Amino acid sequence: MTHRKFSAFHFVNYFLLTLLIVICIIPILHVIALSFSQKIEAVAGHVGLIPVGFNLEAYRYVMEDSQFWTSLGVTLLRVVIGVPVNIFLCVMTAYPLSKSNSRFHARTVFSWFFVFTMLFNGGQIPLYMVISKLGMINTIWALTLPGAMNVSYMILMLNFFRGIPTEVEDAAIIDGASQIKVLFRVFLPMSLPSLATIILFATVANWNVWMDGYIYMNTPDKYPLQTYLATKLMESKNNVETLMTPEQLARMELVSEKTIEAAQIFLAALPIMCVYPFLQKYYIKGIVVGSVKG
Amino acid sequence: MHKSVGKAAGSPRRLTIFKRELPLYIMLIPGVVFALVFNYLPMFGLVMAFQDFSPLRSFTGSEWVGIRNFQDMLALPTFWTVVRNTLFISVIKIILRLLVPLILALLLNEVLNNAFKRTAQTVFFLPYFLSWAVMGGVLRELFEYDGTVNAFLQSFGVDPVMFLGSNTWFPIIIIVSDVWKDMGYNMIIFLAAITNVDPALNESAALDGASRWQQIWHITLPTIRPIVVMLLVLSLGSVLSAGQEQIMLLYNPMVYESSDIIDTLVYRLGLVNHQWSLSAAVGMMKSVISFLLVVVSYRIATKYFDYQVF
Amino acid sequence: MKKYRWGAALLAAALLVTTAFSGCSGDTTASSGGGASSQADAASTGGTESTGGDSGSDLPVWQQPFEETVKLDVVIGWDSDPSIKEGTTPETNALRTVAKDLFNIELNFLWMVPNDQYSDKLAMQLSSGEIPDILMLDSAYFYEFLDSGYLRDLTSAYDEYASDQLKSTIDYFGDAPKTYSSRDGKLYGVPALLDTSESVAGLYYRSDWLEALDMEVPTDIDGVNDMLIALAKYGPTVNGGQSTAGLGSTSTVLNTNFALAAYFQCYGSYPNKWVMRDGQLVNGFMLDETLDALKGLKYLYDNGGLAPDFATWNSDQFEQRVTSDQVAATFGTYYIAAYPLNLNKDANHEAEWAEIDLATLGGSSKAAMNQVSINHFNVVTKDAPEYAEAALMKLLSLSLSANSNSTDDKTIYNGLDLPENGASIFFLPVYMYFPTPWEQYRENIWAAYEAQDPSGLQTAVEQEWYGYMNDYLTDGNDCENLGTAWGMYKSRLSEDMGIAIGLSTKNSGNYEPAYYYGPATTTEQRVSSTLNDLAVSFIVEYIMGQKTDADWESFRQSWYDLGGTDWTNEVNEQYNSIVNPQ
Repeated sequence: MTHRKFSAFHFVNYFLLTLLIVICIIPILHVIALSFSQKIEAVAGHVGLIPVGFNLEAYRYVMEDSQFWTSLGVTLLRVVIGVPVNIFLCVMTAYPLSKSNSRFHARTVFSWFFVFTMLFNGGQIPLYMVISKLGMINTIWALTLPGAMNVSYMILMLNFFRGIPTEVEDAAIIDGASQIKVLFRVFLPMSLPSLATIILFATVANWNVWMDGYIYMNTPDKYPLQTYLATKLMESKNNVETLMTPEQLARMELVSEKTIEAAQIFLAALPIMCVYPFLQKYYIKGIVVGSVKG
Repeated sequence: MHKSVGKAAGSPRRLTIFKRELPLYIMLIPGVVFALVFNYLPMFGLVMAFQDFSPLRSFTGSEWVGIRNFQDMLALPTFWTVVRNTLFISVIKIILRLLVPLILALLLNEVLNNAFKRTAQTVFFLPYFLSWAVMGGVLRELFEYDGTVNAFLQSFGVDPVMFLGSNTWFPIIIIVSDVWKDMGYNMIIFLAAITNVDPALNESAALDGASRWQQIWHITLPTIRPIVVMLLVLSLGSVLSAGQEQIMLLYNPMVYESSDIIDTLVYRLGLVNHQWSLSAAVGMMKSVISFLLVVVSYRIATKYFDYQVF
Repeated sequence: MKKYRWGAALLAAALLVTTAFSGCSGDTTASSGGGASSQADAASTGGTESTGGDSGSDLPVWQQPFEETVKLDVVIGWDSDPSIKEGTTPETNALRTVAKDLFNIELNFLWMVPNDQYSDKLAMQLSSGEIPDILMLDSAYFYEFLDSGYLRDLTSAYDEYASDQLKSTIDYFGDAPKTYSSRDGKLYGVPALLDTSESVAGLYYRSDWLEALDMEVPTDIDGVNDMLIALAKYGPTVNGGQSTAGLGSTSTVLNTNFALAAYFQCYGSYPNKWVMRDGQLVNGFMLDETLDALKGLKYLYDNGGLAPDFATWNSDQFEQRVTSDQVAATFGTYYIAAYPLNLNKDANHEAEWAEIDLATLGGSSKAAMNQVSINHFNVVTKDAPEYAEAALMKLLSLSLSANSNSTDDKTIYNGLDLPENGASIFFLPVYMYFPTPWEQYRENIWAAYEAQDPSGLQTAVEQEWYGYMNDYLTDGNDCENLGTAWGMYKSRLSEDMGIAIGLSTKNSGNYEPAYYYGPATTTEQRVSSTLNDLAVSFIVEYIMGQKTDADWESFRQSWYDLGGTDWTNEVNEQYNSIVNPQ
């Protein structure tokens, strides 16, 4: 092994990755700097990566904002309910569909049945009508169930399952295990990195979606956090130029809350940013699948 | 091969097969029910594309107009420019959104220092957490006429460039920033796939004198190829959506020529009065084209790579 | 502006009229509220002797409670309002409690969403066949509801239960608003009229910079152009070398605030307005004068008077640059002194802004004025409960009466109308604009300031403005909350800026009125966005030099071809049917 050549490569590699780290961390630093700055400096665009006129006003405001915490509760509930349902449906469908056609003859038909739903949809109004008929409006189910069957996660999981050699399944079946047992006792423990990936995606997705809060929730106290934040962000972005009524205009001057927005964005992203390091160990370690070729 | 076996067999054999596979069918039931209720049932809404839809009259009472909405769509003065822009931006995005995360994942995999590796992985995923509403503000501050980038250029004596008003630069900014923001997502998929590579293979290859590059080329890449092909086929499903939210936050009339896409145009046309039916017609056109692309690419993958994407 | 003085005499007279009216119509009108009529009878007996209207028993008809609770399913678009008690929502709105306690009306909110989500959410609900009992409809929906037979006749409820204030608000603008809201002589909606005459656009500029340049205030549009170019050149010498826009504008060039609509008007072109030419209504942007204005903009742009990157600005950029001394001038209505110019004052206390009255500029120009428009119609839908019509009138009357600009006696709300107690008229499901007597209020406040005695100021807004004015005029740039105090004073009260200019324009008569403010026509609903898009693109491309004078005619032709012709014809038809009813 030529040790020298490696270190030259590694030098370039570390340099490149460090550069990228800097580029990726800048927006977050900017948001943090804004949240600690004086309001007028933030509006005037004087804040870069370092707070100007350091103060904790914005955070004090958010801490006292009861709606922020109510919405955080809704989001947590949504994640706690939504992610397991997501994952359950995902693995339950991915497992049969990961079989070869000789082991599951209807496989292709069902695959297309699911993929079709990724490409065609009826739009917002009919979905609202269905959810309304099911009596789910204004309940946590309207946020968690309609998107629970996520086909892209399923396809991802299906492809990971395929990496597991068929011999593993056969051996378990000979030992008398049912398909369900094979899935939960054999396949899932062997797919921890991919499972961690899906859990991460499902958590982030459940955390970040905001449109459905407006559509299906009737009162603000039921909004998830990102919906509540979008309300705040939009208020100030609401096309100021077209506002016409004196009453609407009169509210504008009180609304420019750049620093508070920044504090809320940062606080809202903080918990979800901590999820990744937690799941990370499953990537670093990896799982030895065995020496049989898949 | 298995197909011919199935055909040759009589119905008792089919019954045996069905019985054997019954647990698999049962496992599919929850997923199928969810898809039927929340995806297939609302598809009756597709008829909106052939109606002059009004919410008050709803689906049963709205007037049927045949293909008028599609004719209206084609008659828009900038329709073909917009289709061209959409395809251009989205095809390049699709390619780079696969390539960049793949290279990143491979580079990260070569990092020996675990702390650095962990930090880098986490940080690369950070931009994905922030919404475009936030990112749009950051990008504007960077690229506006008196923004950070121009200040930097000017310190080298370069004349400032109107990045956000230039039909050359604007699409580049849109594409690069999109790839950068979401690169963590696919990177994680690739990292998970790379962990599936059997270390024993690499070890024995190293013993045979294969360099790191050769190991990557001959062992790692072939192992994750199915994942790459799969992501490619899936992204074809969104080839006519080039990122409405992102473009809407950054664009302006100066760059309509290069960066107005189907979704942003439809959004503007419905700004004053929501054009439900026109949006539905455009949506249906996008769905049909995407569906055809996915079917064709699925066939190609099956035939030439012997790999069923899903 | 009509004066809304609610002296004791007027009140008493009103009381007499309304109580007498309800007394005799109670048995003749089938739909009159049975629940309320006995109350009305009771009131009418006492009403004849009492003239002060100060005792609880002789309430005006609109304030009397229903005997049985009227339950209404309603919806609302709202944004949280920092000016009222923190955490107040439509459900906890104190005025909702007032409606329950005083009128026995129970408002059940089916849902509430931020304003910009309102129309989508409503569309979804209507599609599902669930229709709120009372609601606000924009003109497109109003006529559809009307044609489909979804609206209840409001005629008798309006006559009987609408407060005098509500009636005079609508009658003040003539018969047209009622005509637009009626079919076959029956009233189907209460039009919420938006009187925007005070918000005529002016040109706001950095007067401290103009002074430093030793320049005269221009008196014609050429002078304005020269001033803008000079200010752009001068800016960097005083703002730390930052790039400076002579005229600041956002990319939505046809808007009035921080955009260029008013610049076109300086040349006699009126975007977004219907103007009368040779007996026909014409879209104000299709006039030949528009090309002159475009030439002016091109001249301005080529000479640095308009920011080189103006077309990439959104309102955030505009706000940021104004605040950081990078904008020397901008067009806008009276309000912009209070936002966002006040942010500039906050960031730089030495900054000073003044306004040029566009009506006094020489040449072919006239100020553009929207005298009035119908923002929405308040309606009752077909399946609403009994007495919903009467309840609507009561709620609308309440909305006007509780408006902080109104001189109405607020003691009946037990102090609940105060924003600090969490009361907001914007959180009620129906809404009427209050025609504020600005001139009167300005006079009152100035008088109070000169006497240094605010005790005579009746309304909450007068007292609020007085406070700001007093702060600013006493302490100048050292006063507390400088930006807000300065902005309020400059926009509402000073003689040479803001509302004062709007009112003087109106009084001068030198303005181009908006002739048409009726319902959106069929073609308008379909093509107005397309045509607006076309116009904005053309303006930007012309200014940037990608389009020339030669392209103007073909632009105008395609504007007409893409639906402009039909739209124009429909507007003329509608207008004629109002002006010369058959």
